This record gives sequence, C-alpha cells and structure tokens, in this order.
Amino acid sequence: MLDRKLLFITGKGGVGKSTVAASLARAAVAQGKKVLLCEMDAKGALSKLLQTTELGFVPREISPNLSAMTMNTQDALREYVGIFLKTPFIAAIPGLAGIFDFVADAAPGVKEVLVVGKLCYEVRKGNFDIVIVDAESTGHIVAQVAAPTTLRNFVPIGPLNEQTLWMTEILEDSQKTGVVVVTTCEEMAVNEAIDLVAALQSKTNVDTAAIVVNRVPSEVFTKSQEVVFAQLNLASNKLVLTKKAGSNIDLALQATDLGRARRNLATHHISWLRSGLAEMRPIKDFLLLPDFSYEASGALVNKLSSELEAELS
Amino acid sequence: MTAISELIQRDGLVVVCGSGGVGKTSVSAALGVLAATQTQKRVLVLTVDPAKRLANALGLSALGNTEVQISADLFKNSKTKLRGTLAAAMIDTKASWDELIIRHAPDEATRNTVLQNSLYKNLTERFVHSHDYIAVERLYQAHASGAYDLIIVDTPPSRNALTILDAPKRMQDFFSSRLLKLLTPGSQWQLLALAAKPFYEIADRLLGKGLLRDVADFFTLFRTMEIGFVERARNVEQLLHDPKTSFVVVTTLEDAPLSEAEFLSTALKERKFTTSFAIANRVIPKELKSAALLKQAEVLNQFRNDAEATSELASTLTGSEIEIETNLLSQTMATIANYAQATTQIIEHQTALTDRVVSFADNFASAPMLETDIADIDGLIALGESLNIG
Repeated sequence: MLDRKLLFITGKGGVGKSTVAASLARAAVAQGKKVLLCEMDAKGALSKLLQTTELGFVPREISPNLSAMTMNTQDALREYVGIFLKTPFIAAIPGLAGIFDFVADAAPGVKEVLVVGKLCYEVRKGNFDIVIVDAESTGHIVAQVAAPTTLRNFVPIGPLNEQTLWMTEILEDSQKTGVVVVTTCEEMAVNEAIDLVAALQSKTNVDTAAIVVNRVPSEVFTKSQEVVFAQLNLASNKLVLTKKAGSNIDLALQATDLGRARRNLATHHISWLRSGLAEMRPIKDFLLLPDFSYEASGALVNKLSSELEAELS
Repeated sequence: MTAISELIQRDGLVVVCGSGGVGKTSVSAALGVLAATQTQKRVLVLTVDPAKRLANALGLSALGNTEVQISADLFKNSKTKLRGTLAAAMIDTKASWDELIIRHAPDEATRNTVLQNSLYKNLTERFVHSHDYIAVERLYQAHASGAYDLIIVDTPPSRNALTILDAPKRMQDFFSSRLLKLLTPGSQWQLLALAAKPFYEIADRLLGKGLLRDVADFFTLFRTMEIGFVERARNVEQLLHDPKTSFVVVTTLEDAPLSEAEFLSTALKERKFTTSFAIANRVIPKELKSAALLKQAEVLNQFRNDAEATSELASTLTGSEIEIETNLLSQTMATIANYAQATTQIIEHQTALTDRVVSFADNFASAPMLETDIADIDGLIALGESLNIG
C-alpha cells in the first residue's frame, strides 16, 4: 500500500488513526520514500505523537524525508484562489473568507473539495513520494473522497467544476489512491469499519487499500498450555500447588485469565470483521497490529512502525 | 468526594462526555439502570449510537427518535429490580431537525419548501455542528416535558467535546450574523441585495454560477424561523448552565483519552458548568495488586525452575486424562508468571494516570475492565454497581 501516492487513514474515533498514520509514515520513510503526513482535524495529536512543535499549513520537514502539515480550509481556499484562478488579490477582499465559510458549510462538497484538492495538488506537484492523511473519522470520509464528484453534480458549470476533474482522476486510480480503514477489535469499531467499507465500495470509486486492526492482544497460551491452565485452575490442584510452592498463585491466575478473556473477545470481533468483509470486494491488505497502548506516545509510534515495516515487506 | 449514588439521587440532568471509544454509551446506560434500580425516579437515557448488543441490552433494537419505556420484564432474571421507571431513546439527527422545522416554520408552505430543499439534508448533517445542537435540544425537550426526574444524555462523538456546549450559542450567533443578514433579503432587502451584489459576483467566479444565490434563497426561508430557533437555543443554553445539570467526563486510563478528558474538564470549569465526576473506565480489577502479583510470579518462576518439583506436580495434577509433560507445565507456569508481571506494569501505568484524573476531578469513580462486551441488562447492572462502589 505504500507504493501508492495518496493514503487516507480513517476509522472510528479512538481507534488510533493518528498513531497508525504516523507509523505508516515512518515505515514509508524507512523504505526510502519522501513522505508528507497531513493532519486533517488540527487537534494537534500528530505533533504530540511525533514529538514535534505545532504543525502549520505549510509542510515542514520534521525529520529526514518526513514532512508534516495540518489542514486548514481558509488557507486551502487562499491557495486555491491563488493557483487556479490566477487572481490572488481576490483572496484579500475583506469578508470573503466569511462568505466562503458560510457557503462551504451549506453547499455539498465545497469544503471537502478544497481540502481534498489540496491533497491531490501535493500529489500532482510530486514533491513527495507519498502523501499520508490522518483523515477524519468514518462519518466524514466517504463525503470527502467523493466530494469532487458530488460537487460536479451540484454545480454543473464553473471553475470549481473544472478543477474537480483532475482530482477525481487521482482519487479513483487505485494505483495512486487508497483508503486505509483502522479499527480496534471492539464491537462498535468493527461494525463501523464494515459499514465504512460497504459505503466506500458502493458510494465511491475510491479503492480501500487496507484494513488495519489496531491493538490486538497477543495469544496467551498454545492449545496444550490451555489444558494445563484449566487444570491449574481446579480447586484441588490449586491446593496441591499452594502447598508445594508455599504460596498461592490465585492473583497470577486471575491476571492471566483477564489476558485470555481480552484475547478471546478480540478474536471473536476479528472473525466477525472478516466475515463482514467477505461479502464485499476483496481488500489487498489485512494487517493486525499488536497492543502497545500502554507505551508512551513516542515509543508507540516507533514500535508500531517497525511492526508495519515487517508486515509490509 | 461524593459517590455516584449521590449523583443519581439528585433530580436533574447528567451530560456524559469524553473522547471516542472510552465507553461513554455503556456508562450512560449503566448510570440510567443504576438510578432506576436504586431510586424510584423516572429515568431517561438519551443515547446517540449504541452498539447493537448494548441497544439490545436496553431492549432498543428497533426504535428511532421516540422514547421507549424499558419493560420490568427485562429484569425478571436479575436480582436487582426496577424501583423507578427507565426509558431510553436514540437521537436521530435528521428526524429531530425535521421536528424542529415543523415546530418553527411560520406556515405550511415554508415548512414544505424547507423540508424538500436539496441543501437542507446537507445542512442538517453538517451545519453549525448540528449533531451537537440536536443532542442538547433533545435534552431540553425531554426536560421540558416534565416526564422525567433524571435525564442522562450520552454526547455524540465530535472533534472536540466542547462543541456541544457551544452549540446553542452558535445557533443564536448564526441567526444574528451580519453575513446572514447580508445574504438574505430582510425588510430593506433591495438595499441589502444591492450591497450583496459584488459578493455574488466574486462567489460566482470562485464557486460556479448561482451556487451562492441558491444558498441565499434557502437561508431566506430559514430566517423566517429565526424567532423560534433563537428563543429555543437560549433556553437550551440556560438549561446547560443550570446547577441541576451536571457533567460527567469519562476516560480510559490511556494517554490520549485522558488528555482529552483533562482539557474538557478544565474547559467545563472555566465556563462555570457544574462538573460532577470523572469516571475512569476499563481499570484493572482492584483485587489485582502489584506487590502480590510480583511475589506470585516469583513463586511460579522458582517452582518451574525446579525440575524435580515441577515433574512431581505434573504427575499429581488431576482433571485430565492425558499425562502432563513436565516441560509443558513449566512453560505454562512461565506464561502465567509473565502475565502476572506484565499486569503489574499496566497497573503502575494506570495508577499514575489515575493520579492525574484525581487531580483534575472533584469526584472520581471507576469501572473495571470487563471480560466480555455488555450484552444484557445484567451487564449494565454490574457496571452501574461497580461505578457505585468507586
């Protein structure tokens, strides 16, 4: 998936989109690529994860071959006006930004086109090998990637309309663009991921490049160890062990059991996800990432990116 | 410090907020169940988008915007019984908007034109954070109906949980904005239309012909509803600031959701909202203590490294027809020891983060990490009870 030019990383809120986006970016850099990482919601999560200062609309190289930026509709408008209408002075007219915001809030696709347009523009300029987008959550991504088409239907003539054509060409080319759906192995997140893939496939022509299941707890026991664990949990055996070892191990058993329960629940949700996806067009990559949620932010991205490098090589 | 039991003893409103994925919906439902089983109150839980199994747990499988009484039958297999009444409803943004338009439209013609307008659907989905506004609007409606003593609302996921608090204000600001007045013809509409002309021309060049005009036409209709909307938004805002309305911030003991909870809690205080509780969800069960776990891990490791003792234990273990190999037993014990040790690391991490929660919250409660998803009313009862204990 890192051979594409534009990747949208999305998923339900709280599944670790930013972490996965940052880790994918690091993995791409490790493959020798020049990467632009873009945060869509200006919450500042990315700069924290990458342990750098606040990001701006202008891409900034934060480590060798890794640049990062944050999206801003007003700046995107200014750039759009300057580049495509060749009339930069218009953008300076007082009140214009306000009017624009007002219309963009109501008219379908205007804001999305500006934002997606900026991303596609970075792809077209070719300063980076890959643009990785820490995108908005599931509710918004379909509207975003389909925006150029939506807008074309809504405004049949005019400069915005013309500009949407080349964007669509980039977005609908599966060699160039893909959506990465991130989920955790929890019921709500998995259901949203299934619904999202269905919506992407039915409402857009944008390819789903990968499913990433984040925070998968590791397997606790092999099958034969499971049998032994069950035996150790029998009251009679516990007594024997306590006597022989000189101390009971009840809490250790309980802690292990909690790990087993989390793993079982995760496995259940992953198979539910697989069966939901089985009814749809096949998706190339299905990645499971281990649970590092107790790591500090910086270490988390390092661990996940090496995990991704291994998975993707 | 007060306990959750005091929160549910009060009449009023509880707004449950926090970052996505921390279990807000389960916590809201559990608080509702706790209140309706511990008190004789008439309780309502308003929820945004519950997981299917959680919805089923509340008997909510097939309903939309309307409030549904939860039958006492649902509790028939549980030790805990309903003492009050419990109702639940999902918040359907589109349906709620339609209701608002129907209520505020000055006449049938305006109402139908708005409801059929192609911009309208788009507007209800995105304009002025409409999910947030609708959530507080529904809260107000339920409160104004007088049908409930305690209303618990689960807030919609949003980029920033504060948007919900600002939603009523934003709705009022929207109607009073100069821009709206400029775009839509009012009493002196000719003059204004003249002033707006250059804007239309620029907008046509930027956006495409007629788009801004279409938008303006729509808002002209929308403005006919100004008085109703603004008054309503003002009432909703007052209700949020009422001392009877308390805010509960839910978080898990992980860095990102906790930072969000801290931010939210500070902002709530700054804006003088009544914050009641910080709830830490998915906490390692209290009976698991680091020192004891480490000691047991050591006992296990010592034992399994003693080949003779392990072999002897392997031969005495009962409960299986197959003979247990010493090696396998030793490996299993090693895994158990590892888990005990790893759990102490999680506990330490969680303890450190709990200190952070306690430092920003006046009141604190926690709920344990569950082994399964909540799928029935017993699950909600159990979650409510653990919140009640601490």
